[in-house]
Amino acid sequence: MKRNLITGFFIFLLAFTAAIIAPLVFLTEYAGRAAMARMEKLAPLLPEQKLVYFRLLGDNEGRFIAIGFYIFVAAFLVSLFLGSKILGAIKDLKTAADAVNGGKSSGDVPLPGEGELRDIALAFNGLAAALRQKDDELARKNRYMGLMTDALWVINDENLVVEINPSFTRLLGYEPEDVLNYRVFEFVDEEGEKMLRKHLLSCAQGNSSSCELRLISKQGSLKPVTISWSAIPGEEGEVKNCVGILRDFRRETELRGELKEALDYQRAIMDSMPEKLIVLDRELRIVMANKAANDATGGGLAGKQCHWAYGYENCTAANCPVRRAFSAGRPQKEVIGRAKGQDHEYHEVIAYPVENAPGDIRHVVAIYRDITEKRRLEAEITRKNTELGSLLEISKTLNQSLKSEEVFNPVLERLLALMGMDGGCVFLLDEMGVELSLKYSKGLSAGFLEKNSTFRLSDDIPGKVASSGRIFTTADLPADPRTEASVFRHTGMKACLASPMQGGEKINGVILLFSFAGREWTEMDENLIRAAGQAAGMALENIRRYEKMRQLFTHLKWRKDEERKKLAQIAASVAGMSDPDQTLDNLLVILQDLMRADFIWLLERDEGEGLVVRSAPGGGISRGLAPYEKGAGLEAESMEKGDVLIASAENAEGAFSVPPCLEAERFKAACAVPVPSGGDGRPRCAIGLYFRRFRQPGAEDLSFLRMMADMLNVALGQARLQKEASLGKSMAAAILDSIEDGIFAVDPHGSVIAINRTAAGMAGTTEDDALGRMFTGLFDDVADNARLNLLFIEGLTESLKGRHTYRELAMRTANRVSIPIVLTSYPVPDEAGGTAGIVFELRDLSRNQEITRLKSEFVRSVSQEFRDPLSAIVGMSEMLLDGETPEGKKAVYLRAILSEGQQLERIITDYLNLAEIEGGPEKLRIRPVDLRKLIADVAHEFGPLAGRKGIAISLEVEDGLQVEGDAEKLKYMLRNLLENSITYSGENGSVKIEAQTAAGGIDLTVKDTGWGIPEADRRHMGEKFYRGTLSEGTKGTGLGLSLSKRIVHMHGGTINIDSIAGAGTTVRLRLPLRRQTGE
Amino acid sequence: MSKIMVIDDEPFILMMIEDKLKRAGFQVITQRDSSTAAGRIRQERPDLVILDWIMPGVSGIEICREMKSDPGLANIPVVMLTAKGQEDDEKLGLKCGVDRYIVKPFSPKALLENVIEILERGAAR
Amino acid sequence: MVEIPSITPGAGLSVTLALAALGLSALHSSFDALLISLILGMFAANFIEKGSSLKAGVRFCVDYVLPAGMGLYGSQMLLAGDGRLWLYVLGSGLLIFAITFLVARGFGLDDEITLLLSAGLSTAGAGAIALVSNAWGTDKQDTSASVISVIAVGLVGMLVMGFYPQGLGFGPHRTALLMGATLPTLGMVAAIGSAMDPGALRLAASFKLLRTILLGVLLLVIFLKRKGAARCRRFPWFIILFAGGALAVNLLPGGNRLSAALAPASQFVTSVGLAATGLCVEFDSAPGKGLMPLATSLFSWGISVLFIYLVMKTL
Repeated sequence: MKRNLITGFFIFLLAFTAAIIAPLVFLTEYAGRAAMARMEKLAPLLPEQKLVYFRLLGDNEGRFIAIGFYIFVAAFLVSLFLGSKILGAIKDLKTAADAVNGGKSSGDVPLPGEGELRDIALAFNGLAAALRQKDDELARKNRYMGLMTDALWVINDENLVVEINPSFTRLLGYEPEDVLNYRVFEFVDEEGEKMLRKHLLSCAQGNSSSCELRLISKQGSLKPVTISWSAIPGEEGEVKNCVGILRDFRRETELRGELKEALDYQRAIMDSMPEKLIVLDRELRIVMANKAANDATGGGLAGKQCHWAYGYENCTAANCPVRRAFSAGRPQKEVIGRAKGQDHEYHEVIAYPVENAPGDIRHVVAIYRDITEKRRLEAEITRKNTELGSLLEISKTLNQSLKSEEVFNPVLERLLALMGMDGGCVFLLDEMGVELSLKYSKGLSAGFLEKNSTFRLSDDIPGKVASSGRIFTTADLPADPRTEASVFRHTGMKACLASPMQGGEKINGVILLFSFAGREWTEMDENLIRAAGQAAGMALENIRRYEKMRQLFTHLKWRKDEERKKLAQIAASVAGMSDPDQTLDNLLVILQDLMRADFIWLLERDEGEGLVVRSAPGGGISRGLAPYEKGAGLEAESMEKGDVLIASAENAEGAFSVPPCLEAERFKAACAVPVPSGGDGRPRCAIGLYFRRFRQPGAEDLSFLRMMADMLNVALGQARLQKEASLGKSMAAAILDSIEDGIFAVDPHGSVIAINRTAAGMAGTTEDDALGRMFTGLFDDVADNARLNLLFIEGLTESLKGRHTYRELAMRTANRVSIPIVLTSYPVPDEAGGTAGIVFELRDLSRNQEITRLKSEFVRSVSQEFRDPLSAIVGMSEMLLDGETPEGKKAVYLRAILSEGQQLERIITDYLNLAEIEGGPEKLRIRPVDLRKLIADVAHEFGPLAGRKGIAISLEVEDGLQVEGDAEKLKYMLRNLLENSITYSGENGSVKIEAQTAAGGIDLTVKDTGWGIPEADRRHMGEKFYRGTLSEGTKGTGLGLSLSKRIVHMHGGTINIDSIAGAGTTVRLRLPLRRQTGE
Repeated sequence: MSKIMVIDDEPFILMMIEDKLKRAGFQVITQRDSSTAAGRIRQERPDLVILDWIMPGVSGIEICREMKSDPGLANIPVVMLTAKGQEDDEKLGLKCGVDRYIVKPFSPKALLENVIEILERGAAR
Repeated sequence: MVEIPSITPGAGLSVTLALAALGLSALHSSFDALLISLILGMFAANFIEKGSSLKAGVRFCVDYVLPAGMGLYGSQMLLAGDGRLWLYVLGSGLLIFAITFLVARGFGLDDEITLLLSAGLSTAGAGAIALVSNAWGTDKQDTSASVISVIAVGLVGMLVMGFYPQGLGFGPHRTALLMGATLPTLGMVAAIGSAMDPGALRLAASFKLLRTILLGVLLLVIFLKRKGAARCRRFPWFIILFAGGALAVNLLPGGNRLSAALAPASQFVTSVGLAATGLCVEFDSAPGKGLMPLATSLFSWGISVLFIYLVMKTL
């Protein structure tokens, strides 16, 4: 059964309703029964009536109950609503209470309007809020405890640990469950327990305290800690718990130890200091004093006032450094001087303020030092520094220049300034060391200077100083007995100081300083002047040396310049050597000039070990002359020796002899310089220099000569090489040009470095033009030669790999003709094994082809030549045998056969002649030949042929013409010429043969009025097998003219052919009477 | 009787051929000068022409060309005698219309046979 | 589907309560089984610690048994006489619905409670509330508050009207009409009608049942409206049952006998359903809704009844 408000109310209402209804029902029952009883009294009731009445009663009673029930239900239901607010509020309270019980914080309960419920709600809210706050506080507290770095534990009055924080765990390793509700004494040792008890007791009384003890950590080790105890009072004020904050004491112990150590060190340091050290507080009371301080004052300084320490009463705020240190916060220093007998004592006080942790100055450390000695030393040092400084200045001045007037005047002034003198002068000793001259002065009158400009050594002050080398000082010149005789006495000088100037070993001067007032000379002064004197002396020496050197240098420079000029000349001429001999002459001239010789020549060793003159630019002596007998001569000797030789009439070392050709010149000295030949051998030549006036050449001259000889060697070598090179070059060029094929060479980049005439011609350019151009494109100027260029490139690449190529192709030449060529490329190796360049060769095959063609043509024409005669012979023979010949023609046929046979023989003879002539001139049978008869015979031979064409042959031959030659060949030749004239003429022409004697020979002319020789054929006249453009249809071998030419040449003659196309041809021969040697 | 014209600059050969052909019963006209040969042919209208190839002036092949280009002469068969024996030449010759090509030295008998054959063939056409 | 073992506790309880109610109603005619079973159910819900074991059974009875019973009551709707009277009844029902709706809205009540109160007061009381709640998907608080309001108001009305029906100044038929047209539940009608003759009672009952048609219409509308929503409940099939029953007893010969025969069954089944409905009501939640539902119901029902009474008086 739900026990809640509603239930309670329900039951109450039910009871209430029942309490009302029940009496009502009873009342009704009673009243009914009473009514019925009364009615029965009046009249007896029938049982049915009774029943009805009872039923009615019952019904009403029932109704009452039912109505009562309904009313109850309705009332209950309505009151539910009416009570909704209350119920609602109660519900909220219940929810909140449940939340609180459940540990969750609840929000505020909404307040019902008024009445008790409101108060309850308010009270509840307040409680809930308080509870929440308490929760927050608790949570905060726990957080703080958790965040605390220091360990914390709470001990209650039963000495149990009731609480710890996480830092406790960190410190000792115990988790809460290890510790809570354990007795605290379980975590300490015996000693600790005692202490704990004491402190807990004290804490329980409400006191705070702290103790140091050791706690046992979870690992079992003892940890030193400090515990600060505080009491936690309860509500009534009695202490229920003590809270202890634990700190790891170990670190502190260490720090304490370190601190103690530091303090010990500090004490030790303080006591080790020789200076007196005291530490003062703000009241200037001595807090601490070191050993030195205590010893000095008899001890027990601690606690006493500052003044007492020093026995120094009159320190004020201004001059007391300690006070100042306190106020300024920075170290302060003060020097206190005290008189002590004759001297002064100086003490230094340095006060250092000491800041403590907050930055306040609570103490000052004062150090008290006796600085008397220090000051003295300082003064000494300062003095020395001044001295050094002065000397340095003087040295600087001395070193500034190497000119004496620039040096001594400033030095003098400087010295005067430094030493505070009124004047001074500088005496310089001459080179002999005899005389001192007054060179530089200040403060002396001109008159004095004039009179007293020189002093002899040992004379007067300067002289004495110079000779003795000692410083002279006097405080009062006039009174000084030493200077009785001095010229300086009456000059007004009072104090005087003179020092020698010594550079190195010798004294070279004296410095003298004076002042018009008396003066005591200090050691320092003397030191200064001595040092100055030394410096000046050395400077003077340097100056003098410098002068000497400068002179020497100037002279040498001049010498060198001269030589350089000459050498430049020589070099220029050697470089531009076009004519080696001329250059050589120039060289020799230059050398002669340089050596100031009177004659020079260059002698060369010839094949026979003698010497011949190679060059003698002076003229008069010609090249090739051999001035000496074999092996004699200075030059030969020098060549033997391999070095320069000098001979003169004076020193007559060995005989001084002049070659005979030079005797007249009266040379007095000679110098022979051999020219090394490089490499191994002995010198091949030598230079001879001859002098009229002798001058011994110095070492430089000799080395120069040697150098010249070397240069000469180089020059000669170069000349030789050049000649060879140029010879080689021209030979190579000649060879190249003579080659019929086109040859050119390119470098590895493809630019043309050499080209012969043929190749240039093919490319349609000149050799000079072609040089340097790119090889691809060289032939493109005339036509597109793409394939050629490709092959060029191929050739290049292959050559770079070290291979050569061979290709056949067609190229277009400058004539726009396409000719077949063979292109070959060869690499030219360099010394390193690479390719220095590539050589290309273009061989025209057309000539070969042409020749081949002509040859086959020749063969063909030969066979053709044969065929005609053979046809006649064969045909006619056949017909004769067959009996086919017409009557009476047999003889004709036979004659024809004979004739044709003879023709054949002639043809064969021709070819045999050709073969013979090809064999060479040795095959000729030389005999005297009657030319007249020969010509006549030949003309007669051709009579019929000429007659057939209507051509007239005329002769004009001198009588008695005779030549030496091969008659047969000559005849053949003439036949050929005549045949040509006839063959290549039209009808009714004429052929004239003339022959007469001419200078050294015979002129023979064959003139015809034929077709002439066309332009195209002219070039090929005389070529073997060349038939000419007009030869189509004619019989011939194409050999005739070439053979004729050959025959003429073999006889040592010449042949010329003139021809005008269409007008005729004239062939002119010249034959020598006697055959000369050679072709 | 068929008329045959022979043109050759070699007199012996000319004579030989003339004799042979006459003996065979042909009418023969000979010509040495090749330059006027063409005109002669036109004049004579032979039934067959025998030409030598290589002649001074106009060559046999030229005469043949001329003949073949002239419609009136084109039908006349041409026999070429020549020392040129190469294939190219033969081709050239045949291209120019030469009916028969005879290489020197030749047999007159063979020549005659060729001539007869050509004439008979021509007649048959 | 339903597992017999799980529904047994709840269904059993409902049945037990229904039987108790029937028993009580047998004692006196003023105790009507329907009403009593609902009341007993309400009391039982709040006084017995409700275990979850009862939930399934109760749910089942509410979902299935109640509509079945209400459907069966169609057979009890014997309509006779003036058709116009039927219109009066329906009109009254609509009037009550409308006024309650407007008043509830005017008082600022939300949709669910408005609908439940309107449905409960105008059509079939707690049963209607239960069915509409199922169809619409209202929460328990709204349902409980509506049921309590409607029953409370109905009881008050019942007590007022039934205490002295003759004071109303109508003849028995008119009284029956008034009661049938206004009282929320059949049980209340029956409880009052015990003071009248059986014929009038039956008439009143029929009139009351006529208003159930409105419930059917409302449920249909809700069903159609909600068809798409996830909260789609099943088609209010009890309408078919109700219509079938009503048609059967009114049109078939021997309908009266059929009606009489089905009476006990319909009464029992509906009692079980109403007992289960009562078991769903939480007294705790009613206060949460405040006074408004009750006030609304009282006010609107009061005005509607007064208006209908005055109309009837004048007619």
